[in-house]
Amino acid sequence: MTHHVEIDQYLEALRDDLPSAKEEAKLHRKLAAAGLCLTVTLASKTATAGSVIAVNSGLFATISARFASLPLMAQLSLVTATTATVAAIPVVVATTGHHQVAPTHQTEPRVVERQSPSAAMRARAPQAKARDAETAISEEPALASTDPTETRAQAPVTASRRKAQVITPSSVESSTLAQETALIDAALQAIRERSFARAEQLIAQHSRQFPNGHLSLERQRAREKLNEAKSHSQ
Amino acid sequence: MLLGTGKNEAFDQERVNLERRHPVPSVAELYQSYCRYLWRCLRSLGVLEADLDDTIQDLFLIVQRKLTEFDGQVAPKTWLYAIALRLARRRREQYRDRRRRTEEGDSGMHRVASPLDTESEFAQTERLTTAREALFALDDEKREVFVLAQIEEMTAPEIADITGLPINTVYSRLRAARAQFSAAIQRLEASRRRHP
Repeated sequence: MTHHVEIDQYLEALRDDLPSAKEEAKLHRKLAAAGLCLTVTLASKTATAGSVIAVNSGLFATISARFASLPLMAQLSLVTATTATVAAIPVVVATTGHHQVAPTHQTEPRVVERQSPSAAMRARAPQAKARDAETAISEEPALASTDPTETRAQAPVTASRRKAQVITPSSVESSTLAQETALIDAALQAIRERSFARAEQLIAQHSRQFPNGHLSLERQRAREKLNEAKSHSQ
Repeated sequence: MLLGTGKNEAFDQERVNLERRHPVPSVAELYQSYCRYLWRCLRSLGVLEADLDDTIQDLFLIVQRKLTEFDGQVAPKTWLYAIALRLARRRREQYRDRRRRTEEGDSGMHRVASPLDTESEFAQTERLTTAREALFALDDEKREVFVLAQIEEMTAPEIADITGLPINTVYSRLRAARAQFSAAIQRLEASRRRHP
């Protein structure tokens, strides 16, 4: 029996070999940056995990997670277009990896959480690997031909990216992402206001203008929401 | 343990139906319930420290993609561990391939995380080191069954679902793995006593 007890102690040691709080936090950040929705309440509300995270006026968090690797200007345009109600809002990019949106008046200053470009690129890279891994579910794993670390993208961090920048309203207007966001956001708003015809029109417009746009998944989700709302109203 | 024995088919069917009634969880729920254990399982199955986070990320991205296809035929936990097992196999294949190419030994495979060396008590760390050495003395097939049974504390039918093995094979591998693990522990302990 002593022998068994000893073995149990070793098994117990293996069972206790769980990630530390620090490791868990690091992992959580990594998965969140990869676009995974890890908040239970939001996930159960949307029922499509990781597809849309609605914060305040809509696609705020999704943008920072899903499009973290896009050019910084485009990202900021998107963020600004989603949140701003005043036309001219200077957006100051801090070098610390946080964006501070500093409205001139009317609203409180707000800090937008965002991964540093290099971290975001690293986080997105395994998505490509996941596609390979996905095939391994239905079949026996084949011999890998490449080193897993080879596929990890390295994000070039240029000096210009590190510098603080001011986005002008004209660059916001010219951004395709901003236009996409505005359309989808308006469609979601129309659904909330039960203006189904308008929502349909906006979704169709997005579909026409940006058939393979960055927010096509959000468009799909908006369409699902619209159908759901319509069926409830009938 | 009753499932698959054939002794009480009505009971088995009822259990299956109950399991099917489980609502499909969200990625977030799965993450919060199982992430830590999947991390431990992947580690025990031979995924290196440096690849653990990436592997977990791969796993949950797969879960996100495949969740709509999850039909509740098996428990979510079984489904998750089945994905984890395949990812771990794939990683091991990559390591083998890399070793073949670089003609290196498998030194990394048995390594214990450095934080444990510094943060845990010495006795516990030593025990864990010994346990992991004994664990990696098992061949991959036995280790998979052993890890799922002894560390993740799953039942034989669950392991059969995850690995796709016949239940009798699960039992026989588990028996053999226990014996080998026990023998390895004794051997390592004796070696440590001789060379403290």
